Amino acid sequence: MTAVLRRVPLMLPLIVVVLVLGLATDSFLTGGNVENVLVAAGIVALPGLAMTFCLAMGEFDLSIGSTVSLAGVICCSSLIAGQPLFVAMALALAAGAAIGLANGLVVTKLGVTPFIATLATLVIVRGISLAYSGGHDQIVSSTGLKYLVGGRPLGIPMPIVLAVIATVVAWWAMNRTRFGRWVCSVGSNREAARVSGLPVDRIRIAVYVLVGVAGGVWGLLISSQLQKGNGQLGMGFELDAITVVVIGGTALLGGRASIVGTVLGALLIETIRNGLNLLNTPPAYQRVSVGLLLIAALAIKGLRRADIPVAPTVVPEATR
Amino acid sequence: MKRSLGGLWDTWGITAILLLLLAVAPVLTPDFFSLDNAQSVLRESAYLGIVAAGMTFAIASGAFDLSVGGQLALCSVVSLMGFAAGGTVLAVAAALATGLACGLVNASLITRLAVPPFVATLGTLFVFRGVAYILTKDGPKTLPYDQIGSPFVKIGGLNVAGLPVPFLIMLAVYAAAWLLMRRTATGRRVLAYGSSPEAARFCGISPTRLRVFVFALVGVSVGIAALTYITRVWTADGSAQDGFELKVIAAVVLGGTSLKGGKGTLIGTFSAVLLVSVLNDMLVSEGVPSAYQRIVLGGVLIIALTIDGLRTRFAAPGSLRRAVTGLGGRTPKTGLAR
Amino acid sequence: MANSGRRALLEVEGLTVEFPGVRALDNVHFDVAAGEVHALVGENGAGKSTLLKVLGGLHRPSAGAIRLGGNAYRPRRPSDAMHAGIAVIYQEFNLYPDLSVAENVFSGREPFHRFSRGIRYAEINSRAAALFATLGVSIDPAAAVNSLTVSEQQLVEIAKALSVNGRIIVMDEPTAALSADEVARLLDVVRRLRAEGRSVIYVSHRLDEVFAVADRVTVLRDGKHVRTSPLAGTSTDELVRLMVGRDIASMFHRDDVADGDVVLELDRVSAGRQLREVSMTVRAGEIVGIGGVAGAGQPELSQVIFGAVPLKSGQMRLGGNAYRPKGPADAMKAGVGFLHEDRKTAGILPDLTVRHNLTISVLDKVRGALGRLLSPSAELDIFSTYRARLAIRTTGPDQLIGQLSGGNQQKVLFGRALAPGARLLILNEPTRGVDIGAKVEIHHLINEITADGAGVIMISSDLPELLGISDRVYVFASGQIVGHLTGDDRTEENVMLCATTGRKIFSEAAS
Repeated sequence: MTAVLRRVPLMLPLIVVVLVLGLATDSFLTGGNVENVLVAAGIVALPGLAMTFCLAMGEFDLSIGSTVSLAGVICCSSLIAGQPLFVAMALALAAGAAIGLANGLVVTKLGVTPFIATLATLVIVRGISLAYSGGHDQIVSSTGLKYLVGGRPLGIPMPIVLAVIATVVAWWAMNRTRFGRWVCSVGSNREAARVSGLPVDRIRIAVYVLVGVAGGVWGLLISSQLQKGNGQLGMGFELDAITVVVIGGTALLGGRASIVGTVLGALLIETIRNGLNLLNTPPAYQRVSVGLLLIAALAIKGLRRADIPVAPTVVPEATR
Repeated sequence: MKRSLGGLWDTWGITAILLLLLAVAPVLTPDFFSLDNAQSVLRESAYLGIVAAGMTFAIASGAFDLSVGGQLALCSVVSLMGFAAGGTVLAVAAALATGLACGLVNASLITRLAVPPFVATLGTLFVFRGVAYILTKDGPKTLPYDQIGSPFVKIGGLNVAGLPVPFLIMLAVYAAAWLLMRRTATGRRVLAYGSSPEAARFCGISPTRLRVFVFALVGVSVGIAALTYITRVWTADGSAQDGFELKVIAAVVLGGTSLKGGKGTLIGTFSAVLLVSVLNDMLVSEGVPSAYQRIVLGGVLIIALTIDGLRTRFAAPGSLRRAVTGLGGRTPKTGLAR
Repeated sequence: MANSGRRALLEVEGLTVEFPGVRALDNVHFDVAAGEVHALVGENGAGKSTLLKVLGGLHRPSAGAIRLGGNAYRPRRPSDAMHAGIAVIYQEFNLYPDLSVAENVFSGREPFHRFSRGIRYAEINSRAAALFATLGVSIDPAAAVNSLTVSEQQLVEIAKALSVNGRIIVMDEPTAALSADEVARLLDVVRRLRAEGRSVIYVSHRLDEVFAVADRVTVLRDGKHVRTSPLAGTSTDELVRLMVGRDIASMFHRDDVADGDVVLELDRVSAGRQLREVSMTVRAGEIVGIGGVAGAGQPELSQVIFGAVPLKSGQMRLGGNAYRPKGPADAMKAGVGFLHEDRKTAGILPDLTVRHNLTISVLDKVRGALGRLLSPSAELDIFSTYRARLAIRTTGPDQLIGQLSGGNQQKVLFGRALAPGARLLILNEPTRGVDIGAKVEIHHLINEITADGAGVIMISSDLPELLGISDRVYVFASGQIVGHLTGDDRTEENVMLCATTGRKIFSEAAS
């Protein structure tokens, strides 16, 4: 048991939070509420898994919140325009992929720092989404779209099914396939990856496209939940996606990733958010709490690192 | 020769573009140089410019502060509360103290808890904004109209010798910042640290003190900026100036300060701030909707960064990563002896 | 394959590489036979690295031809070189610290299951283990690379080179970070590779290694080919002359300087993870050498004296007074100067000018009339002083330090260390990566510094240098002093004995 706790550092806080909420509220540990938490965690885990690849590569994609909005707007306005559901969804996912591709190309071909490049796409895509939606809600009433969040194949809510499948695939891809190892290689030492002949640019672009598509999926799920799309949705979502990955133990500088950690991170965040809701805290506090959680997770990591005495550097002669 | 031209471009290139834009502006926008419009552009540029001056130091030190938008909202809200409680003096003091406090919060997260600056400030961006939201949950704080005679309220609207007071404050801030950067030991240490944190440590520069200074400086600059901001718009809540951090970073980078640290040009930042304001003014007076203004701003930023990226492409492979993470140049792990 | 040792496997003809404004290689030609160890020597900037990068597919030549086994060889990217059987081990390791040894060795060429896309870990682990067996070492293929020592990492690089079935293995300064016994082991590996019929191109500054292992040598100077000849019948002096293009009067020269008072005294000092109970003294006018295996506590020693690593126990005295610096700033104020062993990441401030690099340690002293403001003219004075004294070759005070050669960068850093008025100078690897001409100048400078009355602690892994210019030598092993050599006891054999066998030698005169 202690071995599990040590290997999966989020297990302990998660158990503590669940216990505290179980004792502090009557409603937390009811079946319906647990399912709510799991559904919410499933929804944020999907983009979180894609973001895990991005962080494992030592990079960030901040534009995902805007992608959520644009994907939702495109899907809903296509439905309103009378397109069949699968076309609307395909268009939304294609928009996500296109944003990812744009990020990837700007970052690899133009050499712009990912963090700032995606901050810029965040603003641009938000602008496109606002302009496209004309600044108002695109309200739909589509049972097909609703099934994405509300459906229950085999009695299990759809987001949980999707998240479980995605987790298994992501774990395998990250830890057992060349793609995952190459992503970690790029994050661990990009120059070495280049010299070893890895297709570094293609790997990086692929990861941005992956995150873009995940943003599209996220947008569809949100639109399915709300039955609408608009230019304001998804603001600040990038913080959620990054936070679940970082508190899950994926190295900020890349090279190492924890898929299981990301899933637990999603569970922890949604448990806390659900608890705050049950305790009647206003939404503003929830935003603050996610920010604090991110900082706390990093601070704990930082403190752990500070425990290790400073090793004097003995670096191979590198000066020419 | 090649380098000196490059160096010249780093410092003055953006200024040249600004002058070019000013030359064509009247053609596109006939009343551009009318006194009213010119004053409005300068007044509008002040809060962006003042924060950009502080941010130039942060970026020159190899970090950046993403929380300035949250800080501006919080400083504005607290300052308005101060004004309601104790008039001009308390309003000014509240803005500056809040800015300083925000800066110190960032600094202690970064130095004491070793959180990388960009994540720490991404977190505090939401925290500061969240606090501002909480303070304004009963509605935005505003300047009361019956106080229009108060010296505080006048800051935003007054002109001296035809120049708006906020712009004069900005000029003073830039003069002080230029001296700080170019003519003081502290400024030099900021550049040294940004250039190579590890080497700076062995030059006797304390990373902790330096970072506390830089982030406190950003906080104070936001405090000053908040004064010019609220006396201009008269109201603030948690959502004030959403996306502000991006505009500030865009201005600094456009100005020629490299994201990889070690270089900082206040003249460039100054020109870039005016450039962004002029561009904004032109878009607004041409009737471009705000959704498209975002697209233009993001596009301008990407172009600026592309130029920056091309300039630093041949720099050491780790340098960009350092800019991203603000963690300081990570020595190649492979070189560490066990 | 290697039945005729003289048949050229690799032929380089008329190779020219141009960068904007620079001709890095100019009409270079040489050839490597199968089963030959071919050394490539030259000063920094002679074009060795450029040549290797052309072979490795990182640079493209502007003119000339390369033939491999008789066929034209024109690599356009690193994978082309690998497929052709040329494996280049660059000076800066190209490993992924977070990944396993086997994952590193087979990076980009991992075999995987067709259906599940999973990498065949069992296969790469056993193949990696087999490779290490042929190298005569045992490294766990599943271990993370960041848990290995530098020399083990070097072996991972070599295993990587072997795994592509490299016919030609190119090593760029492979021993730069290795200790003496690790160097010996590496040279054994090189001989083993040759015995298997592989060719090795061996680039090194250390001529003793070149003589120990190579069959032929090619000398480059300023991007031009100077000579290719068998090593048998060539002398060190001759090689040095060819590399430098002029005679070097004497490689190692130590002036007679009278010892003064004790400057620094350490009494059972422990610090960091390594340094345990070290006691030593340094007198004014003395050069005290510190030798030993890399990582035996030398960095901790230098950093604890400079205040960069906290003192755990013991006492230090500087100029007779108790000394316990809270940080480098304190140490500098007390008159201690410091030169880091890693010039590139912990020495130069690359975005700053030569002038600003010099004055960064004395900013408090270049204040002008206005009190807190810096005075540019005072900074210029300091620049002119040190430019003249250290013969720094620069276009002017406003040149960026990154544009200087390694040797001149090092001189600027010497100036920085001296500027606060140092009475004790700690020099870590003062001539690492510096060409021979600059090396002699720096040794001259160290002599001068002691003549001016300062004490010097010199940590060097370059044995001839260590013994050539130090007055006394302390040898370190596992964080402790295991030898103190003075006078005629200062021999390479004694240093190696202490450093590697655990035997303790303390010269009579010293105790």
